Amino acid sequence: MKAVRMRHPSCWRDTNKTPMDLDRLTTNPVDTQWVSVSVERNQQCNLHAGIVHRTGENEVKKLHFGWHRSLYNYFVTGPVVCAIPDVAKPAHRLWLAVFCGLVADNIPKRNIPYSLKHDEDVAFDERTGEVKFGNEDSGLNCATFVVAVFRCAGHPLINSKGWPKASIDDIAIQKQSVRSMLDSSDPDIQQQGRKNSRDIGTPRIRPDHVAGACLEKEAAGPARFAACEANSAHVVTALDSHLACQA
Amino acid sequence: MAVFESCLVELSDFDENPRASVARATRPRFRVVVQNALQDALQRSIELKLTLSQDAASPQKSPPAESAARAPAFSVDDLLFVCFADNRTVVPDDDRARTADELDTIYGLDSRGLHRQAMERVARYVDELLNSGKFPECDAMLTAAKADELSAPVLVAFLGITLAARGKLGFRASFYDRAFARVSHESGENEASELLARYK
Repeated sequence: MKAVRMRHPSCWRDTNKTPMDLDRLTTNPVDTQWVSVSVERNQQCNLHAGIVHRTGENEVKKLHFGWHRSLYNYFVTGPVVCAIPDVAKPAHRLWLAVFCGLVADNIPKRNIPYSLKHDEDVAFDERTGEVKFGNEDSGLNCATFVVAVFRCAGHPLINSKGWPKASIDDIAIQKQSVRSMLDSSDPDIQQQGRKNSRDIGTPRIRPDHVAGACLEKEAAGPARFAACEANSAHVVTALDSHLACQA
Repeated sequence: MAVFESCLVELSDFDENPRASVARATRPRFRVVVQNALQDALQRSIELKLTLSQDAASPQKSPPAESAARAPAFSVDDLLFVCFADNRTVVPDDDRARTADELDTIYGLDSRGLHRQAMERVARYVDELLNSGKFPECDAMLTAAKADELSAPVLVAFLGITLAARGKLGFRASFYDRAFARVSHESGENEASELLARYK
């Protein structure tokens, strides 16, 4: 696979003068400086987010929440675009990679329901001390899993205050996901699908929003919707250009 | 020893049972003082016994015989008991020994420049303690960890992995202060703030 590194200059949006750095978008996961947010297209051509984390010299793995109670960590295959978050301190980058490794090591313990909602509070189990990535009442999806991991590690990417309600496109994708769950032969997945059906229309943090958040400067704090939305277009364009090159 | 002087002011009601008397004194200020004293003790040696005198006029760690006769001796266990009076929990010897071994390994890896391995060791061990609900053990580790001997990445690992549990860990704040002081001393306050403030 030929790696394409986006060579756009850093630019300033006129709207709020927040710096955005497209140099941190890459199609080569090995460029990941310890940790990055990956975006790819799944079989349904929908966007899917994960975390690419460095596990060794020139070795990276992708940690991602694939589906209901299905967390994966394996080598990156297929075309992806990775957004490297602006984490200035090497110690912080190293910590994020170590934290992702810890989450990956504990995959058998992470029994995460698939949810449409964004659970702002990563629960801390008062009895066992275990960090919960979403509880049974809510859960996570691929994008909110990434958001939760970064927040838990002390590096929140997104400020979800004021996030708008789902757009027509978002609702279509939410309905598609609920339908898939209801059509499943697994009663547990069906039950979760019924729960999720009540959340159709809930604000949706998209995979490209999370990657877009990485293009903001760390000093500006967790990215709000406007910045994520603006940056997401660059992420999708980069991904689709890469896919076109691959075709 | 300012911490002992402060402690002496607070401790005015000893009786035959040192644990019972100190457990009564659970005012926040007292707790901080005892935690500082315990931290100091553990920094020197895990086995060090602390003796707190009832007489505020003669604060000293090894009181004369006549003072010792009426002032009870407080072991590290006694102090841990006070600090975790709500839980009525002390750290078992086995866990303390294991924590000491683990810290030795972490110092060793870190001093050889193997920061990532040291961080992974911290993350796995502390995560295991938290997942088992072993908050006093985790606190004991934070207390025993010598911030001066750890690199910045490993300090970040200690603070990062305990971030979600900070409300449960009474000694985490003092570990943060020591970590901050250590980075400040080496690289200045701005650097310490940039490196550590997000994990406070």
